Amino acid sequence: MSLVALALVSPDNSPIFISTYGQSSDPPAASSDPISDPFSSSPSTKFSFIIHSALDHLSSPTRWQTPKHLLQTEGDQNQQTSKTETAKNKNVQLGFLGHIVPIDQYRVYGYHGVNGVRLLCVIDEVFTSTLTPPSPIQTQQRFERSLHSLFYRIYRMYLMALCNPFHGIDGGENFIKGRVKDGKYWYPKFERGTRAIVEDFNENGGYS
Amino acid sequence: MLQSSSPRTSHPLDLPLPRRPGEVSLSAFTLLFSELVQLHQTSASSVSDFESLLSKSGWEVGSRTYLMSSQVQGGKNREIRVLGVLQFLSSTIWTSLFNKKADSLEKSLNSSSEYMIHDSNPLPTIFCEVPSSLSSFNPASFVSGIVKGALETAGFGCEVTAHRVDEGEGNRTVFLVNFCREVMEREEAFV
Repeated sequence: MSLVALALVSPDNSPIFISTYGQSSDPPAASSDPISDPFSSSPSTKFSFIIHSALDHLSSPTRWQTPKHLLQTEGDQNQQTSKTETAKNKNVQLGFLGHIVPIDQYRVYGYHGVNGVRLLCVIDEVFTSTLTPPSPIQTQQRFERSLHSLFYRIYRMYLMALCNPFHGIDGGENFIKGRVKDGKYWYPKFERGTRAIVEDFNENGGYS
Repeated sequence: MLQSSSPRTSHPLDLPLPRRPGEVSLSAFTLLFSELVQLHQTSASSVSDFESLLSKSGWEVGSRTYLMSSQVQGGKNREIRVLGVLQFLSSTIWTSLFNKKADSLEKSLNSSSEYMIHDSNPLPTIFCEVPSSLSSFNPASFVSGIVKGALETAGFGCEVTAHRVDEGEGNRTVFLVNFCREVMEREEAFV
């Protein structure tokens, strides 16, 4: 399984950053009819569509909680306090949200930042256990935990990009709120850094 | 407060909050702040314009400080209640910026959406002395910008104004936070 797309969405659901990784494995069909096959258009449009659908799931009225198996092994220092704090804020979307929705052959995972910014990633291929795992569920949980660390690294990269003082000269407020000026994203360091992280992740098939 | 990361040391966001915050020298910060004030003074057309420019600079500081503070604490807790976020602001953020907690946090009796943060001597303005030609200007609008930035990034839209409590020599300032209607409606839905 590989990470094929990553998106950063602002609190008011406008995209800050969308990027696709790896080549699209779907060759354009010979008789691609735009009406019958809407995904015959460019890959980034397809992923934008997938990400929008996942966003709808996140903002649905039903309550969303981080799955229990992800709460216990978050790998942070304050493991004791994390349980009591998440018990207090059961209704708060924060941190790794886990698997959001499966679409076609993709799965979308999400991460919620403190200021309302959401990180969504699209994983290609249904999970196949080629190793000899204790059980498929445990292997999937291990995979999700490694995804959690991926999200954490990318979110920290985003925070570092926010600290760039040059983003304050011409619309710092817009950058933090996720508004884009003239449709151009000017975060080369962030782009390079996330590309490196994602390629590393894909090569190792997940960190675990 | 943030140290430059090298391959040996861990990521700045992983380090715990330093026990003695305020590692930036006061002189360096004051020099920077004086340049900022002078820059805005030359480009502003009126006193209110001057205050709003300074407040905008403070917005960016407050916004980033909120993100960093909540991340360094482990990113475990997102404040969703008004009182929670104000307490986080007046204790944690005030400590990380000014090395002390805000003096007090009060709820206004006049209006349900107003809260007041008291500070006896806000750090950026300890050397400020406003010339008489600009008597209505309050340099603490930088700090009110910080408050506004932090609260808005946390998801609480508000207006913040700084008012100096006249005590002769003292610099006691009250920051009046007025949350917008959506925030108050959301708050009522919790109860």
